[in-house]
Amino acid sequence: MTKNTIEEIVRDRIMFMDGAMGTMIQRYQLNEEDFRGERFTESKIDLKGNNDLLSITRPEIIKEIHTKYLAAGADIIETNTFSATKIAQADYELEDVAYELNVESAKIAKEACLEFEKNNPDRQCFVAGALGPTNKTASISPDVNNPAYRAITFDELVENYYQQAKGLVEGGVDILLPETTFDTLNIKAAIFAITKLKEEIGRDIPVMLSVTITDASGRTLSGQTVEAFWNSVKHAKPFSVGINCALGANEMRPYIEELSKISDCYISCYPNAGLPNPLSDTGYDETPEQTSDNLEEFAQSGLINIVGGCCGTTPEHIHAIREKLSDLQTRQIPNVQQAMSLSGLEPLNISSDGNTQFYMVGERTNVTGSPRFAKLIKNDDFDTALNVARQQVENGANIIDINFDEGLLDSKACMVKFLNLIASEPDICKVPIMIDSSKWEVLEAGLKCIQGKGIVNSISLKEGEEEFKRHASLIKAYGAAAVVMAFDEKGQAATKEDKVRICKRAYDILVDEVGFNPYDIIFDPNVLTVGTGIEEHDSYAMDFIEAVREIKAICPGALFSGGISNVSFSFRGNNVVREAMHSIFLFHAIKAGLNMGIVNAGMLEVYEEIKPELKEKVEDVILNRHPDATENLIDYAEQFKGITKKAREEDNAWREGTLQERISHALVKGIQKYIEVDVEEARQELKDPINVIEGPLMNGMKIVGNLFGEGKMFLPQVVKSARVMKQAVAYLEPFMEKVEGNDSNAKTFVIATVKGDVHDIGKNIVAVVLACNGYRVIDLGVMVSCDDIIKSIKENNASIIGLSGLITPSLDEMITNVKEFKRQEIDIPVLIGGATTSATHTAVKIAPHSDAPIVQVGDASLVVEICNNLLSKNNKESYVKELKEKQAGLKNYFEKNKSDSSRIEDFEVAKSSIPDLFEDYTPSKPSFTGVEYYFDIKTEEIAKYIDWSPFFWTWELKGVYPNILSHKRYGEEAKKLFKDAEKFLARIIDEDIFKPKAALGVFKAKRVGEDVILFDEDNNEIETLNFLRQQKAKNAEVPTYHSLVDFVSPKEDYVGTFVVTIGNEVEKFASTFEKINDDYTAILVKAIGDRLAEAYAELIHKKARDIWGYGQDESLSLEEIIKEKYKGIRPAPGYPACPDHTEKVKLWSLMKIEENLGATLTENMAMNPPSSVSGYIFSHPKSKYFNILSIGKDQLEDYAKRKDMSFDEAKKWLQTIYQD
Amino acid sequence: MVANNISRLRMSDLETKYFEKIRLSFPEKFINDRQIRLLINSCPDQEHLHMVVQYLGQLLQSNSDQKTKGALLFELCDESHYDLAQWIEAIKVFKDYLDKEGRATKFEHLLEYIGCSCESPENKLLKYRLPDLVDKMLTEYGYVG
Repeated sequence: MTKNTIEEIVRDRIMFMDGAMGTMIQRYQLNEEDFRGERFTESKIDLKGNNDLLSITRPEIIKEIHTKYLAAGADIIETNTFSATKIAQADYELEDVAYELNVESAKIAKEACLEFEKNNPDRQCFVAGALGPTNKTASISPDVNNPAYRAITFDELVENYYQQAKGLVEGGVDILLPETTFDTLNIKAAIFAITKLKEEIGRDIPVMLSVTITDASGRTLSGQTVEAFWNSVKHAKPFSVGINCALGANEMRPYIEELSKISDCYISCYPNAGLPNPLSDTGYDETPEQTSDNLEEFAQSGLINIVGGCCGTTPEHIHAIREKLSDLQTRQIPNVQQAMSLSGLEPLNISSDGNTQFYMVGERTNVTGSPRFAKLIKNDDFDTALNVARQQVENGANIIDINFDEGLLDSKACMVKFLNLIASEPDICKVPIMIDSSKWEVLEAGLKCIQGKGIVNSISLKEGEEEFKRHASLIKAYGAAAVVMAFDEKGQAATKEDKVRICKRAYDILVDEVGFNPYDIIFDPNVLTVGTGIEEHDSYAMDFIEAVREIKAICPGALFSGGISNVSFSFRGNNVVREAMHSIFLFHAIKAGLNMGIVNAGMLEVYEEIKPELKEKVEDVILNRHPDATENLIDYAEQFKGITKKAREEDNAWREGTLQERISHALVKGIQKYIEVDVEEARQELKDPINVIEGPLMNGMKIVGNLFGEGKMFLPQVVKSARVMKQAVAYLEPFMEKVEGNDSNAKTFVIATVKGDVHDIGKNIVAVVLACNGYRVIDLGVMVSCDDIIKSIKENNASIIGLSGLITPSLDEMITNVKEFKRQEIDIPVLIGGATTSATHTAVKIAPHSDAPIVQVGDASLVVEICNNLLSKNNKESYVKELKEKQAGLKNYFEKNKSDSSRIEDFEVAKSSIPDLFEDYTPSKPSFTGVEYYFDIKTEEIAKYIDWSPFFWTWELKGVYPNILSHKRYGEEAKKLFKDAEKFLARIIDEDIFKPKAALGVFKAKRVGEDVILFDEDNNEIETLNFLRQQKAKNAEVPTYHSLVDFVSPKEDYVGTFVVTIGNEVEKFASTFEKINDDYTAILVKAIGDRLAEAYAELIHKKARDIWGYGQDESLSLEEIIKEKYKGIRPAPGYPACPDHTEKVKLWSLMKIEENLGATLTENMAMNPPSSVSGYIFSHPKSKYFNILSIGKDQLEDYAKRKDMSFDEAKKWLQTIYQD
Repeated sequence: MVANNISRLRMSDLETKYFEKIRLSFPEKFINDRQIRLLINSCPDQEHLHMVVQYLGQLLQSNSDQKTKGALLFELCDESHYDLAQWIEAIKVFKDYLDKEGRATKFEHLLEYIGCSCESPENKLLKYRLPDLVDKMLTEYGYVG
């Protein structure tokens, strides 16, 4: 029979692939000996499961499987080499046989084909050499704590794939098939390796590419969409592209359909037999009938050219598929519109034909163009630098340019690190990357990091044709586009003629000699500065515009870019003129064919909004319309010097509205500037200031309240509204005193942080929100005794009480308060709030002590509705009834589920579980012991360690910094809030307002039983720290019940202790704002104080690690320190690993905290000032945070004894973990 | 809310039936025999077992260079207040939530969310049943991942 090429066959009919190899091997029920054969009997590792090895040890089985698939109807069979790389074989310590596995597997498959063809002369069969994805990902870090880390490099993958492809070709395969791609960078490495091999052997081999879509998200594991993947790999010019594995045919259909529409090569599809179900007989659910039915529809819809099966499919499946599909038409390759096809996680296609859309290349992540970015990189602050990239994307950049060309930087290392970090940020890496450097090694290193199709910026003929061709060939092999500068050996092209000449020469070399896709070329014909006063520069803008027009005509497919801000450099300092110049230049250049530009989106004026006179004068310069154009513009531009965009943008249109509209607008937007003017106008109009408050002001606040309730305003905005309201009321107060008989109808709300607690941010927020909604709020402050609360309730004839607290002992205090209210016959509703409170605890532990409604408020946005209901004549009864029913239900639920509580291990057993952490470890010796005090560390230094996420939580903006800044719902408000925080933090730093203080103790220590004994320098015992051990029964084979004592040696060791405080200045500074009714800033200041306290603890921990020695070489970035990637831990007494708050007393005594830092402990062990943190420091490298969870009676008795405390007292402090 | 009274199958039968199949699907260092048995015995029914095995399959497939990650579920469970049976019910709650939203997530992210829910302040003093707690967290805070 006449042999056809595979292309001839697939053009004519659908071709069929084989099915799963693993499923078939399982049918043979092979044992360890089968896998080892005679050759690998000495292997120290189990080889069962290494299916590829069977090509050497049981080749007859592999051949038999191949033959079964051929008999079932497969035209293409895959070699048994899915894991035959050194990387994958390392699991079995068989790296050395990887090459041989490929050669032998290819030979077996080829033999099977030849024998089958001999017996079936009407059939023609092909062998596809399978290249699996390996077991490592090149663009994903396996370490969630270190996103820049990679377990495998591009170069290592290329080496592995090259060896595999070479072995497969030597063994005789007809096709190479990199498949089951879950990370596009891996397959790009395979393509690079195959390209290299094909060049070396001097012949073409068809390449089939196959990707795996992980789940219903429609993306690869590394996050790309189907089209983004195709854009990343199409440079391979594959014979086919397709999808396999992970999904069944049904789930795969939409992605096959999409790929089929956009790909200009053949489409393959080999799905699993449905979704995996290890409980079914084959491991997958679909029968041959079902799979073939599904695929039949694919063929009927004209989606596929090559079809087969993946996991769970068998020869029976392939037979059924062939039966159903053999008479159906093969897909016709569509006529796909040519375009530059870029990608990040998402595709970006830019057509050069008739396309007048302009694409912005973000320029802020360029150290040469952005001093801020440069500073961040020099300070190793990559975290904030990532934020710069994110902001560009948020601001509309279609591509981001990244450049680290700076003398003091290791540009290559910075490029790799930054690109790896970006790869973990989907909101950044969704756009394509422009890798920008003048150094080839930096460009190449960058190309090895991106899974998408990016752009190299730039190459040119500056260093001659050979170097140009070499770089272009490599860019092509890496699958990127390139910016080609209009430079040649003689220098930069300035005139139109030179620009056209150089670009045409470069185009011809790229397209005709290198084989570069013309759609992958972006010319930058050099935007040069006009308006310099030098006559020959006058035509520079027009030279560029006209050059673009002409090059576009003679270089089909190519795109155009430029650095737009260059054109206006001569007007630096005059942004009004510069922005107009950019817009006008772009307006004309885009019409000529400019497609993209490196541009700061914030430096562009809207073309239509440029003042006509300015527009005319700028156009005169840009278009070089007459010789005096520059002089005229310089004269005219004088009037705009120093005018900022912000000043121009201030929009006072709202001032044209009615009085009510103006007041409402000021309240909703939090604008203070005009409120007194408007309120005075209202007072004149309405005569009585109370009417102003209850009329226009309250109407405005109702709008605020409604918007807040509907989730259309966020807490920071509401607090700003309150600031305006308070300002208005303060303005009216003097007039109110003059009006007799005024008695507001407002209901009175008394609120306090309970005795023993000093935390008040949440309480203050609730107070503000209620005040905004017409309540008279009596805020008693912090550490308020029950007597004082009752006194205030009586004096003010209060309608509702609010009790707040943060630390767990405050919950007991709340119970005490509620009991006392009942005893004194106070039956008004009580609201309970604070981070540790919960609806359940309130229902089970607090509410039963009162007949009055006791309501837990989980969110400040709910408090108004709750109060209104509790005081409403109409709603109160039903609301309280519903509340009581709900609380009864919760109580019932918890009582019922008590019996579900986990089993407690015997304390003696738990103690005996301890692994010896000191067998191979000698504790580091610190450079000093004793106590050091720090009074001079500046807030600026501390601020570097701030973890901002909890700051946003304070404001009920739920998310993680920096992602919260781009959050769909909260992002806009989070950005404003963060800007305010940065502003106040800068002020606090500049004016040296806070006086942070810290104490760090380092003591000799020894573990004795469940305690740690501390010694002074003369080895005298100075303190005993008591610890608890986990006791909740565990399921592990060898369970470990952790205690912090396990991290201290029983011989000689050291333990650290610390207390930091930002000082009373936080409260004092905040109170200056409270006094002027600016609660927003007061709360902001306190929240910053809290963040600084945590940051200071982080900084002191770093100092401790340095003192110990092991911190000096940890080379962690600030971001990594904030994420606690260092060695050792700093747990705080009162928190999960050491939940006894009373241990703080020992820290205070050891380091004489009250005398030296002025910080105290309340009776409930809250630290005062509130912005304070205390803790222990453990240095053992295996020390880690954990939760004690539960302890039993046996341990509590032991603990109380060790602490010399009564059992009941110990139980009171440890009630949250004690399990009777 | 997940009902408390899901009737538990006689898992010793299931154990016999499914142990070998699961064993064949996963390497020993990903999940050991003891963990497989524990898993089978902690599932209230076949549907739950199927779900967890599928998730473990995804975890293995997507993290093949971190084969020991199979232990993550068991480790997080041991470090929480809850037993594996409650963890599995909570996973089901999470999966149902994702299905309803037409979304998917990585298994490790799902487990970490449940782990974080265990540590939420409102679960500090009185413990919710884990599936109820996760349901509550998903309702109140949603899932952004």
